[in-house]
Amino acid sequence: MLQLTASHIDSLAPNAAAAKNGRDLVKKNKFVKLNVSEEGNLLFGECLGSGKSNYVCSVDFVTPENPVARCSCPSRQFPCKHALGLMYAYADGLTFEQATVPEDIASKREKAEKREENKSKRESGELPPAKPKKVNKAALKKKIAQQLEALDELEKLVLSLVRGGLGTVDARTVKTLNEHAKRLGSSYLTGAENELRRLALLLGQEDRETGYTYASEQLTLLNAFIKKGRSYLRSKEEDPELKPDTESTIEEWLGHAWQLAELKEAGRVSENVQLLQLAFYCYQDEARKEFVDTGFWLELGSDRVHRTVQYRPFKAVKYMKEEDSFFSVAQIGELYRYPGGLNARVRFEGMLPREVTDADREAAIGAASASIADAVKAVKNQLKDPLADRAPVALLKASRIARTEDGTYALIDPSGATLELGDVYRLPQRTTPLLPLVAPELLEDCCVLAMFEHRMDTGRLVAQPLTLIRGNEITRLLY
Amino acid sequence: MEQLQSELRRLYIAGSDLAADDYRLERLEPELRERGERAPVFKRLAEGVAALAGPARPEERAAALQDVSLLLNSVLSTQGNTEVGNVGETPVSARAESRLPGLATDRSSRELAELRQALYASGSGRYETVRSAYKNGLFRDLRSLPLALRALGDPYSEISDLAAERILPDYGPGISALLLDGLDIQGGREEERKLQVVQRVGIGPEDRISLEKIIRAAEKGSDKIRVAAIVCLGADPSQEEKLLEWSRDKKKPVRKSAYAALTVLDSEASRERLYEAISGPDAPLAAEALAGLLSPGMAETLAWLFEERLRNGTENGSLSAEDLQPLLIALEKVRHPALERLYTDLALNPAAYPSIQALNERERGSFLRNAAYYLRQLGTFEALELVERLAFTHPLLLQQAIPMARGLLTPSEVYERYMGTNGDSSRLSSALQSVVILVLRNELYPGTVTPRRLPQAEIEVGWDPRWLDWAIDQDHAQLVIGLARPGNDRLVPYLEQAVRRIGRAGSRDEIRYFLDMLEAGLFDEDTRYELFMRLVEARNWNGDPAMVYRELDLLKRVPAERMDETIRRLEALIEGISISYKKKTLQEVVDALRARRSADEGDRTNE
Repeated sequence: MLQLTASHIDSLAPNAAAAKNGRDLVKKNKFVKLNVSEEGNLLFGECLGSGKSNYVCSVDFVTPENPVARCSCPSRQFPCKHALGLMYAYADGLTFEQATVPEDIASKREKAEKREENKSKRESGELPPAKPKKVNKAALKKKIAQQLEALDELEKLVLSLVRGGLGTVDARTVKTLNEHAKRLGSSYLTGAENELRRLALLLGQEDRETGYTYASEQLTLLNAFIKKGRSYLRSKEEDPELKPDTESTIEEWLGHAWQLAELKEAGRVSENVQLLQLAFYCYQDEARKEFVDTGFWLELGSDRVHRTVQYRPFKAVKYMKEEDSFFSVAQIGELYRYPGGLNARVRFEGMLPREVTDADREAAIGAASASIADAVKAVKNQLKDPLADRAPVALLKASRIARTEDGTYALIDPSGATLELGDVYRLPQRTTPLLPLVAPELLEDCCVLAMFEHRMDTGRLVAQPLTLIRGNEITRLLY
Repeated sequence: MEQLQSELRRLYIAGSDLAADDYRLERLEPELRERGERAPVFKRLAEGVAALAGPARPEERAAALQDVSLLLNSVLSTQGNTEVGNVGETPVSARAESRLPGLATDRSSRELAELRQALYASGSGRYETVRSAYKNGLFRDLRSLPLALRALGDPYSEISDLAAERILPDYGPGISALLLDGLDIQGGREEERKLQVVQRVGIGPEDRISLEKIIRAAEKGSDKIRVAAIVCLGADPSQEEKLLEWSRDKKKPVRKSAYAALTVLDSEASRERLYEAISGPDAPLAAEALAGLLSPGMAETLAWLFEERLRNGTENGSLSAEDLQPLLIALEKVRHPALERLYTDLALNPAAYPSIQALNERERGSFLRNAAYYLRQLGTFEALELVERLAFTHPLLLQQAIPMARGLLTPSEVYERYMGTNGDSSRLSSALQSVVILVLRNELYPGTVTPRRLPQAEIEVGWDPRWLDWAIDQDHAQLVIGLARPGNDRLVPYLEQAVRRIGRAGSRDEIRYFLDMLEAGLFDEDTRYELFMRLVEARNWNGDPAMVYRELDLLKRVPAERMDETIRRLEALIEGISISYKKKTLQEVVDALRARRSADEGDRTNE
């Protein structure tokens, strides 16, 4: 029997509005037909629309971790509100009449099965593997040459900026930087494009003084990127057969978007993994011109905190699924791991949710580092690489969270070591103002998921609390 | 290294070209070299500094700055200090009084982000988002508390009002302490709203800190803050003295606020002071402050003062409207036996209140309306009789009496009460008759913007049939339309004659009532059609009849067997019209009917 909870359906919805509209359809009794297949793995029905004929929609759970929604409505959102409504109706316990699977869906199921079959045959070698993509060497060479040239130009621009000094930057410089960024994008250096635009944003901001600190950091970052990028591209130029570097993040810096197949080939797949989301937030990255949905997930049974990232370009926001907080445990067949440091990005296609148990929360507490020194060591080890993620996240044990007389917050670990808690520049919201408001007992003997940031201007390494865990409570401070 | 870093930052701002022979860098170099003996990284930094400050081409110098900086940043990133000194026993948690128990963090990021967006962005639909978030309990999530506080300062007043009146008070008494902790007593509207929340929610009985804060705001705050804070102090008896003092402040808003607080306080001294205020020149101000807050004791005192004035006027002689108005305002929402006694006596023994006669007609009317309204609220038969007694001297008060009677009596009793058993309306003077017409019009056509005729069933159940005869006798077409019902032989002949007048001179409303009546299913088809066509024909097509689209629509939908007749009559009408666009409008109707007829014929031949 199919088990569906409202929160699972929420997580399938492309955005909050679709979820709400789906619920409203049920509330307004718009479904004129509700059916479930005999095996109980297909919901189908008909929903009144504004037109003459009803919308015929279905949700197929034949692969439960990856339900397929279909609908005759013209919406470009998947699942559309009708398919969502169908699921909410089921979760609400409305009566679904048993019926045979409609023919069109049966044939679609067959085709999908066939595809899967072929895929597994190809993997096992029964069928010849799909033709590997042929690499056009001449084109690749041309592309690399173009990238190298663009890097040179970028270096020139950066150096001229350094020569003149940030003090002389005006609106015209910012404009030039933005225009140059655009050119980088068309020379296959989208990573560089984003970072140059970020520099332009830092220089354009109102508060010049903090802007300078971060802008000079950004300039050195560009320097590191130019150097590393150039040597990487040169070696690629010499040996076009060279596989992309799956160990470092340089490919991503250059603007490469990893394909799951590439990650699989590089052995970056873990099987049968269970993830517990500890924090989720969405922010607007003006440099990338994208919304970024970020989740931090603990891999149960380990102490690794992974990151999921979904980029939604401003231009395509309407058509893309908006990720959301996830309050269950995600059971995942294949977890693809990107190259990266402490919180390397992961991706998965399809998952089965299950309720969070006390054992999961205990596992989370068990995974926390009992020593600030150990955690900080790992963090610093990452930060010394200029191209590594500047804001690593770690799970820490705290004997208490304290406060100095001047209002600074600190995490104190079981050995008495302290870690300053502050709000980091890279997060969209502050969370420390919430600390005085949470129940006081949550601040003793707890675990804290925290994001680190090294502050160049003060020479301090501070961490922003994202989530507090104590007993069977997970208190999320960020959203 | 920190020194080096600040030098590099300076150069980033000023430009690397200025690094040549920079003495500050040159001074750093030997020190770095010396340390380089022990740690190779210092050696590399020293080399970098040398390249930066030494002789070089400008581009190389820039590159040198970038490289030293890169190396230094990498090194510094491993040196970050996390230690916090002086971690004492200062509690992290807010003081116990300002805790908000029971807040979860179980709402989804999407929901919270939508709310955040609504409060940080501009544009339409923001209020709706905030309101539905409130309805869905989103503010029970800890993380939305800062958003709730932000909503309090929202420039769109519907949002800030919602925050002040609903969202924040829902957090309970803890929110008062929290708001007071963050109160800027020199602040503006937003801070003022915080205090309004405090006034609404109150503070904990033991919460001395919050009380001190309110007192401070009341004493030292900006003008608006003082006013908002003083009202909050009414709940605390120990503030009596201060409040009494403020009630004599030079500033009007301060006095008003103090009056309101004293009303809440309701001590003997405060009642005395309020009595003094409302009997003196500050009466209008005090009345506004008191309204809605009066205690029964204070209400009784004011009722007594009220009666005294009505009987004997004021000390300086005759009574004026200004003497009554403040008391009427203060007592407006009050229900008290003393007031009931007063109004009853006023209706039974008007002679005992001679000073009312000193008021002019309008003032007296307005006062008596208050009295009648109070009595009407009692809803008893005795009260009805009192209102009617008042109406004898002031006929307009029938406006209160008749609806009241309709609530208490059967329709026929109501009719007989005012019109007598034989319809001679003997009980009523002509002035009262005209008021009856007015009342009936209001009752039969409810609604202020677009009044409608009552549904037919309501008319037939709610009104005695004899009213219709009376209306025909009065030759009041609008009332006849409003009371029309089957079973009166005089109705159709009357309408057939009245329709010409209505068609020619009726207002847009009257035409609508007439059409409503035709559609209410009162008449057989022939009568209905004839009345309708007569209305159309009677319209002043050459003058300025308001075009009623419903008429045109009804014309196009006449029954098939009447199409020929309609076309004929309309064509005759068109001939007499001289204004071309009106001609055209009617011609279009005729054309539409013709098209319908030919379509119908087509159907028939097909069959």
